[in-house]
Amino acid sequence: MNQPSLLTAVGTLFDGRSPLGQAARLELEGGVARLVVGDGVWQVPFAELRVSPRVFATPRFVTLPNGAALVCPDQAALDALPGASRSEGPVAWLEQRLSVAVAAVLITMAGLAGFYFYGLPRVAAAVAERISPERERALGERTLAAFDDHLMSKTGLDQPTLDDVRRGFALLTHDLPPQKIPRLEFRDAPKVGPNAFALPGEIIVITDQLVERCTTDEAVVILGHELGHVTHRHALKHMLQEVGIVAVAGAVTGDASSISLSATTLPPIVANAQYSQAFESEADAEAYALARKAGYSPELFASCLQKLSKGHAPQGGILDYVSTHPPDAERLARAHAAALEFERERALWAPSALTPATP
Amino acid sequence: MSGVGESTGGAPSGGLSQWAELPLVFKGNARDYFRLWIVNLCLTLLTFGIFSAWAKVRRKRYFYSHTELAGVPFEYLGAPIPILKGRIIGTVLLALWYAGTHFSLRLLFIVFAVFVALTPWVMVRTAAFNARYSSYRNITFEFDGTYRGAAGALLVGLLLTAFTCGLGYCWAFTHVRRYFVEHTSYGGVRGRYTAKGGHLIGPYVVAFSSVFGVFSALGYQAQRGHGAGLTPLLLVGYVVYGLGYAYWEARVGRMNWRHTTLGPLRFDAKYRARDFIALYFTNALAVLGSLALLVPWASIRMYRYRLDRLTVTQDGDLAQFVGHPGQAVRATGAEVMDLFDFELSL
Repeated sequence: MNQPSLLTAVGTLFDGRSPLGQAARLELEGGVARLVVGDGVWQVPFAELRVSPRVFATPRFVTLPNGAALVCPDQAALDALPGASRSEGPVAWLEQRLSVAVAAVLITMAGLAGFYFYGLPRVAAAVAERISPERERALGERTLAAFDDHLMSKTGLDQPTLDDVRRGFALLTHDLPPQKIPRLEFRDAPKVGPNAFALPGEIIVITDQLVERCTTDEAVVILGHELGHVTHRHALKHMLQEVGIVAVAGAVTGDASSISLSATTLPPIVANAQYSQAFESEADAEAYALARKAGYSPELFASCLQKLSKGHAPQGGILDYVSTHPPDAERLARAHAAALEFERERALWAPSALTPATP
Repeated sequence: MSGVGESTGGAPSGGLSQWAELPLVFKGNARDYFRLWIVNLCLTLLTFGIFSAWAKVRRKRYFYSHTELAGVPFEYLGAPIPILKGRIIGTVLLALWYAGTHFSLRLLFIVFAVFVALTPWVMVRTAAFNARYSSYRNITFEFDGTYRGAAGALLVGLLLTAFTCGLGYCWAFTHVRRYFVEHTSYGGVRGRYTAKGGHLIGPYVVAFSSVFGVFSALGYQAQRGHGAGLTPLLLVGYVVYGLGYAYWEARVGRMNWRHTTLGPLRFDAKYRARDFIALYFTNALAVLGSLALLVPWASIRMYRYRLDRLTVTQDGDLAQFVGHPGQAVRATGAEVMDLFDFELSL
């Protein structure tokens, strides 16, 4: 015979109308429940009782069919009553085990790292592939119009300079199908300074200040970097990854906006900056590859970068983590390495290298 | 659990119709809450967010169950499934918002108009959901505000702010809050909110001018084209913004409680701005330095501070609270609010 175990829950009964409680006792024996309040005893249909889920060692609430509730200290025997929320029982069970907590920490950490380094970039790439550049064009045009309103005006460069840059750009985009060649826009932008950027929808903007500061060849190699952003769909991918980061950060920090503003806003900034740095490195690599194919040395990228960083405060330390671009030293080293490769390649294809070596 | 034992309702004996300070205690601790948090977070990630509705219920339950007023804990009655439905709708709206702001100008205007129209609805549903599923001594809170009423209050607030170049914000804030507090009731007794905009003008000027000052400096620097010097200044701006925010939160929290009454219950919150600043600052460091593992510790710390400094005084007969059975409230609005990260906690 497997009789339900005997339960006596002593607590305070609140009838649902008055905030003042009465001392009461709930007794359970052989499938019959009895409520004892003072001298009165009531039979209660066992199946219509509901007990609230366990929350660590806090008191639990047993609701009776008439809407009254008995608040009583938690005890294991209460689990024999029908639960008010069936799904929460197993969760409460998991919450009380140290081994589960340790496992949860490990799984969560591994999951987040996998999501950040592997999952999210891949999902963003897959989604980006399905969105055609034409769909982004409206966004790019809008951004360009906004920049034109506040920061930039028509280019002041003379026609020969423009033609030189365009010719170099044509060399870089030689292998692309005509409809895939990005639109190149020149703008006078003293407030922006020497810069070039890729907008969504295959639009590349280069400022007069950049062309003036650098040689034409240097400017062309910089355009190779922006082409890298365009062909790899970085603007769109970055946007998608940002959404993923914000969603996950929201899940992790949850109600944390009440504990500290910066606890919730800073991590996404750092996480996004790291993605951005990865994109910049990828665009750099594309710039070297395009430059080499078109006969430009990647050294031009390094020299241009040095010219542009002149007058900047030296970076380094913790600020590197929130910067959208990799540290200059790192980029220069990689440009030099690519330049060496370029020189070696050229030497290999030089006539002297083609003559058979005599043993 | 001596407080919930044989005594009558745990209320101070003989104090049911007199003056008494009701003990308010938080019994939670960071160790337990960490376990709850990590298990629920892990399950949320493993289910691609679906479990987040359960996680929310568990988190709420933890804080409610560990908060005891006059010896009796609060009870959270919200159920996961309605919350899940609300979250799905909220996510769709968020996606629309994102797509609208990024891809199409026309969609942007439509989405924006829909959002403006939805805001009062979201606020009303949130207040109703939170009230209806918060129970104390087996009596739930109620909220009987309407879309029309909330929209009216918000519109007045908007006009007060717009036509005074922002100075009227303090009056707008108290005006909107009054609507929400005075339409919230417990046991048939409505809350009362007596704060005036003038109570807030000091903190508002201090917080606003410091933040505004730093951001104008930032703008000036950007105008002059010193791009490189911007990063350290941005960090300074960030810190000042954090200070202003903490200061404002402390002052507003204090004022809100001091000017809120519920029948015979009076409230007082001895929040100090310097404590809020210290708490926010150390919490931010702890959360960032621990890769978010100290989020539960920080949550408990903040909640404990808020509760420890809150006093509830009874000045009159508690029997004037009379509960009555109500009907269920949909979670949709509440969850939309949650996703867009508005804070409207009492």
